[in-house]
Amino acid sequence: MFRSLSRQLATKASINTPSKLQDVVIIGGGPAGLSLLAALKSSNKTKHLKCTLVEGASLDPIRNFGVNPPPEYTNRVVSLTPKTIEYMRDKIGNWNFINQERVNFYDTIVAYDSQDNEARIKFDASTIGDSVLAAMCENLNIQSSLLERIEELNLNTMDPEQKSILYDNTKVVEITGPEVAAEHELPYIDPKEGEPDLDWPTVTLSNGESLQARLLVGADGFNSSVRKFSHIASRGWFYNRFGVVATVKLQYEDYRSLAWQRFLTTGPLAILPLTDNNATIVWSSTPELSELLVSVDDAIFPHLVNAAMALEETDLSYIYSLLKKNPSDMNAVEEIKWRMSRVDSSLVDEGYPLPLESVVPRSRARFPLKMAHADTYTAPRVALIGDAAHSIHPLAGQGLNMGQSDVASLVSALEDGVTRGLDIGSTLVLEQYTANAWPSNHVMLGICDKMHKIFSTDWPPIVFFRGFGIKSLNMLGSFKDVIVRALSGR
Amino acid sequence: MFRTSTLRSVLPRIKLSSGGLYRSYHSQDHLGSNNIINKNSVESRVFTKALEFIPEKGFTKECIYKAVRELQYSDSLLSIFSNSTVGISLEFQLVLFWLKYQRQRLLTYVESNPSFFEISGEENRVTHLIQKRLEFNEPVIGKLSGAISQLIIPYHVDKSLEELHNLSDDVAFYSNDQSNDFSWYSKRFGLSTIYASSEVYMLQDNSPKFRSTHSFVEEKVSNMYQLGEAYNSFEEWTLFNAMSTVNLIKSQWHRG
Repeated sequence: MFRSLSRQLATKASINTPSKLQDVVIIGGGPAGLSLLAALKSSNKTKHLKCTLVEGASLDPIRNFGVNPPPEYTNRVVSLTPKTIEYMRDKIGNWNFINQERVNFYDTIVAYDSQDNEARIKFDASTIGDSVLAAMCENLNIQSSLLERIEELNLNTMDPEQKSILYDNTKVVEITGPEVAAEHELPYIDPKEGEPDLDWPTVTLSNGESLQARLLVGADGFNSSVRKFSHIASRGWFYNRFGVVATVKLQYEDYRSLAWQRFLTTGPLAILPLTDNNATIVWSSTPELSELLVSVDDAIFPHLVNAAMALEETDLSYIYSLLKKNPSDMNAVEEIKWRMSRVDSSLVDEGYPLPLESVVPRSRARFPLKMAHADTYTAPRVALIGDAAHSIHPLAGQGLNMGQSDVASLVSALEDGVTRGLDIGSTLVLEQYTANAWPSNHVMLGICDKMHKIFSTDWPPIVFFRGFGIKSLNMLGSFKDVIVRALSGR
Repeated sequence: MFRTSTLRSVLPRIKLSSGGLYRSYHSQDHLGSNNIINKNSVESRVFTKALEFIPEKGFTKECIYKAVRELQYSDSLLSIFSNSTVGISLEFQLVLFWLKYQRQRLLTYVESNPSFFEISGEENRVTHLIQKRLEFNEPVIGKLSGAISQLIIPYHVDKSLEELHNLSDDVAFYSNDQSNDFSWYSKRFGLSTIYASSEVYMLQDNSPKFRSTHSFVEEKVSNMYQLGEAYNSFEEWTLFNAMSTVNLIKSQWHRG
């Protein structure tokens, strides 16, 4: 009796709030999610699809960035490859909305080894006849341009059904799948309603609405709720390293448009140029060291970065030990200055990056580094993109670009599906996406993982071989061109 | 076996103040059987007394004879020990009792020093405990080789190995070892090896306060944990790549 009563209640409840049917529901309003929405709406083949994007946080900071950008650079800066930029310009169409004054192109990367300063390698885009290796751009800048593009597309759409819907400040409460029918059993058809039950996943939102999606896309990051719902396992490991990011000012503007990366045994430290004398740093380090890097005084931090770009590791560990006792110990600065004065002066101008002058207050932050890759990107009516599908070590600056190539593959798979008149949520359509995107992402993850492993040791034989490898690689122009092409996504 | 479950119930109370150390399983059974040696039995009273004479007389019967006399028991009491069902010599009984007594001291040390639980890292706690246990050897160091030669007599080996395993089990447990797979065995086996080799090293050690023995222990323990970590990373990596190969094939499967 109770059961029948509760069933009645349940039926009533579901009648009261019927799920809204949507073709594509995207969970997560990061660069990947917004790109997918904008790309779908920009393509002639897929722009008729009803799309909704759900984001847990507020989109106001992103909107504000477009109207009134903050004076200083924000600390989440990403590297965009020419291929990504091309896609943004030609397919998504958000490149016009990017605040170009806050984008910096560079054409050369110099990477060198902390155990052997002679072991350096220079990647120069001009050798493959390109003027750009990559562009540094703030995450917010990209998101804001995507949002503006989506709003523009909405304005140009006459049919209100086809306008894309954005929910921000809305959390996903629950994702429920269809009742799993026993194998070989036909779906149950209710004779009164005359319609088969939809096998579409239902997303219940914190604003009380529920959406039923033909295709549910997870762009919701490392702890993806969509991935958990679809029971796709994600494999990988934590590196026991943290990435420290900060926005810094160089002593003067570097006109060479060079990016620098030094491989320390604690992890690589990169200085990436922004416009004027701004730069952003990414410093991968051990958990203890990263805590120290975040806690030292603003006055000391720039000196510490200068030291880490040039000094021997033994000098560095001594300086760390001074600062560990007292994070505002100005003696450490004297120590650094004295030690820096003894560095080979012929290298100072050409061999090392320009010294830092200051760090933008409160711009330092740290995050754990990990490698993870989902077993597959698709399940019936589910697709994963961006960090929900893969997390990568930031040493090659490929994370965002991998997300963009996911978007490109998924959109082209969906276009094919629409052209052939298929249901875009079916595995027949989606598997094309996994087949295209999975292998290349796997290779990129593997390369970055091995780079991390090779450079995080100071074991002499490996130091010797990597030094030998780097030096000989630096002389082989044609092989370097292959790497430059891979780095710039061509 | 009961002993272990008892420890599980006693230790969590001590560590309440220490944060960080959380054991996900413990049993409340057999609270009373916490003692490794029963202090009230005649036997342990005699042997405890006998321990006092070891630095002077070594691990010999003499210690027990002297203890019996000092405690003013009748000499016939000796026949109880020598005819005991255990069927082992008086000397070896003394050695075994000595080992158990030191294990009891280690437990008392852990229970009465909350600062022990503030040592961060399982590796450092293990090192600390092994060093502590070796410190207990210091008063008898001159006579210790006698005990060791008793322990390695072939027909004593099963009992001495049991005692050694109990020690490494204690050390691993007090250090909050959480392994529940095959590493449970390899860790204890490793600790036993480290302890036995450190003890032999200690016999030859002439440095002040046995400093080289301490650094020997540090090095061996850190080697063991590094090896464990290396193995785990290798296993993780191999598994990842095996799964990835399957995933790669699967991703291309439908292309036909």
